[in-house]
Amino acid sequence: MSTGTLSNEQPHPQHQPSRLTTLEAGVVAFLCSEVALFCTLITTYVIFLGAETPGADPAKMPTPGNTLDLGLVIINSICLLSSSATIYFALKARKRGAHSRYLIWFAITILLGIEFILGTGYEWYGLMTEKQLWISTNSFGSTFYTLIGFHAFHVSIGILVMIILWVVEAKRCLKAKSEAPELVSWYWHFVDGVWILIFTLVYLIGR
Amino acid sequence: MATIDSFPAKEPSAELATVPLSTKLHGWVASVDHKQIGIMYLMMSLFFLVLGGLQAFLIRAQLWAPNLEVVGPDTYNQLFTMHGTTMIFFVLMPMLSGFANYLVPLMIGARDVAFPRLNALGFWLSFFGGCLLYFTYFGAQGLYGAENAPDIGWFAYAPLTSPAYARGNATDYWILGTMLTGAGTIAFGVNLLATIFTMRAPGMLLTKLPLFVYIFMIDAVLIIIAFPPLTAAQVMLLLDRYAGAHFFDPQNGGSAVLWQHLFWFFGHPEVYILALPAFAIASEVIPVFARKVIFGYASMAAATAAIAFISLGVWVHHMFTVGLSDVVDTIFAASTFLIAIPTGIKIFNWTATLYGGRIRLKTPMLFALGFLSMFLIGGLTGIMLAVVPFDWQVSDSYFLIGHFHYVLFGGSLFSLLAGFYYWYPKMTGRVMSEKIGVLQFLFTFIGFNLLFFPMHISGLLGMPRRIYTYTEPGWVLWNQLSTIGAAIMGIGFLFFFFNLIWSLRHGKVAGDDPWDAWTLEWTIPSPPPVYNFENTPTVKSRRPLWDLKHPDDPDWEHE
Repeated sequence: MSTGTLSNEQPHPQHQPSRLTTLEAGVVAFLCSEVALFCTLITTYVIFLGAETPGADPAKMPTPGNTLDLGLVIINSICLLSSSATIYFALKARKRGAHSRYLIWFAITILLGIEFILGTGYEWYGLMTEKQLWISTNSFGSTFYTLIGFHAFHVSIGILVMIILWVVEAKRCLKAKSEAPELVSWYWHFVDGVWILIFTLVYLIGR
Repeated sequence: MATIDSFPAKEPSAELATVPLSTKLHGWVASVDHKQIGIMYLMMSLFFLVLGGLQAFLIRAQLWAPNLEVVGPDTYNQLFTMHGTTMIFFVLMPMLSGFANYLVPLMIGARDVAFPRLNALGFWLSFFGGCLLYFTYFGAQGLYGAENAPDIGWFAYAPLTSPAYARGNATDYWILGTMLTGAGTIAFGVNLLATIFTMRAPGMLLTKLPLFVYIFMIDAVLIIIAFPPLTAAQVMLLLDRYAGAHFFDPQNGGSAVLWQHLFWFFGHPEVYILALPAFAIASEVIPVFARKVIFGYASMAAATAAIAFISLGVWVHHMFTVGLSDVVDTIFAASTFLIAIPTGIKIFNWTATLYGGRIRLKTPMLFALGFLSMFLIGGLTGIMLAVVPFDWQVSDSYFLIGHFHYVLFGGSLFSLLAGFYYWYPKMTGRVMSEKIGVLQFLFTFIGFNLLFFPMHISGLLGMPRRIYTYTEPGWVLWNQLSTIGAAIMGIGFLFFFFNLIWSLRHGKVAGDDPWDAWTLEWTIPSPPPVYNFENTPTVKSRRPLWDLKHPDDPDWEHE
């Protein structure tokens, strides 16, 4: 009994069960799992805010207040957040078919992301050498490096994917209707959004 | 797509004989077909079921009489850790993934899942996660070879996992194995959601999904919310062990209780991730064998969503004995009582479906009824355990062990066994032997109750879990009953495995629709062709095949 139509109505030719395409739905579901991941890390950071190490002199221990500097982080944040705008412009150019403009905006996005990673690396270098804050120093160190590290890891993955995408696009190997650039931009906006939350909690409120 | 290469193009039976075994196996390993991956998930879970079952049997043998030394205390710790981890992560999870993978695309009229290659990746991550866990038996020797399997309990409480107490590498393999599996499971959840949301047949609105698919959709949502926190906690634990971080060690400002919170924030939804598929299968099997429409489709769907939602807010009931505070305990006791309401709605719906039905007591139905009754007992002892003072009395006693085996074995596994008997004809083209099936059911059901019911009594008599032996004479009888039950159930599973293999050649030929069922998977041949559906079906009701069989009285006129 192999039959196609199970009722007397013919399928609508443009049948579409959902407003999202399959790939979009997949990326949304994936980003939801990422939300759960970062919620856990952020909650852990907040729980340990102000936790003291038993037996150690609190005055000598690194805390968010006496170790974190705003200067460099603000520059990093501006770069990362503006990269959200540049990738938006890039995609707009792509939709119009302005290929070279698209590649330029995309390259700027990648460079801004790289600046963020290098800046974070420089910040960490300072924290480790000058402020003596290591992952093993106290629970602030543990949670700080884990949270920021996880985020930086996500930014790095984004950069890697964008570089691959840029090369493929520069060689014009991607179909015009490919959803990949759009979906990468969703991921990138998500990573930026997480950074806003982390910046507010770690550098503004928690300091 | 690679799928097409991995299958013979035409009718398989004639050509398969000539294809060399290595080619056939390669076809499986390289497959991205949802049906093959589904079957591989099921085979994986049966493989680990044998291992986990043998461990359980060793545990029961050790507890046969006071002061026995069948296995030593160290081995005993490893046994209950491996048993729990195996059964949760490598038996029940792949079993539910297998059924979902095989059936969801067929039930919604799709060609495959949304991301076939991601699907294959998820399977292999899960499988090799299990291999990594079992590699500990060969490659994790710690000091003096003392630690050749994790011995931290399946929930791995701190500080047992700290380098001071877990000196070998077994704990690391435990972390990495379960983390890999978790990644595979998240991939599975993402895939399932995208499939259900965007690949339904024309006319199949979300409100017209078969309940199996609907419940698995909710299950995937829970997976996506619950698994990442476990991954995060496991990364923290690895950092604690290898980078000197202080998440879970209180001596340096960490918090051992935080691990409990993070683990159970995953762990409790996980219980429902394992239980919802049982509900899903029961919601297909019970109506078909009672010859009635499921009672209260909408309330069933709503109850599922409510269970998923509430299950994210009950995790502290695993921690009543930690001594958090009376306020916290009260809140979480209340939320735990609350979850009994939607679960009760489901029990009533299934019972109402049975009421007045023309019940056919075939093996799938026997197991579904077994599920219904056993899960009810497990749920009721669950409500008892939600009463905080009662929990203080019996937490970490054998009462608790009895309770959750009634939920996860009597609930989940019975229903999954019903699924095996129900869909085996679809997967293989042959019906499993009814005689052996009934025998298996009797042995499993009697053995199960003999094994786990006495645990409630030994628990109330004060027997704590995770002790490798005891001296109390009052516990002997109940432990011996349990061990006898384990042996009987073991025989039941021998029947099961024999039946699986025997029916492959000698079972009755199934045809497309051996059970006179109503969902789309029964409209196509058994086993289904590679492409699933010749033409994309159009759906107008929740029981499309009923509509087809009864054009004079289709469902969509009444829904």
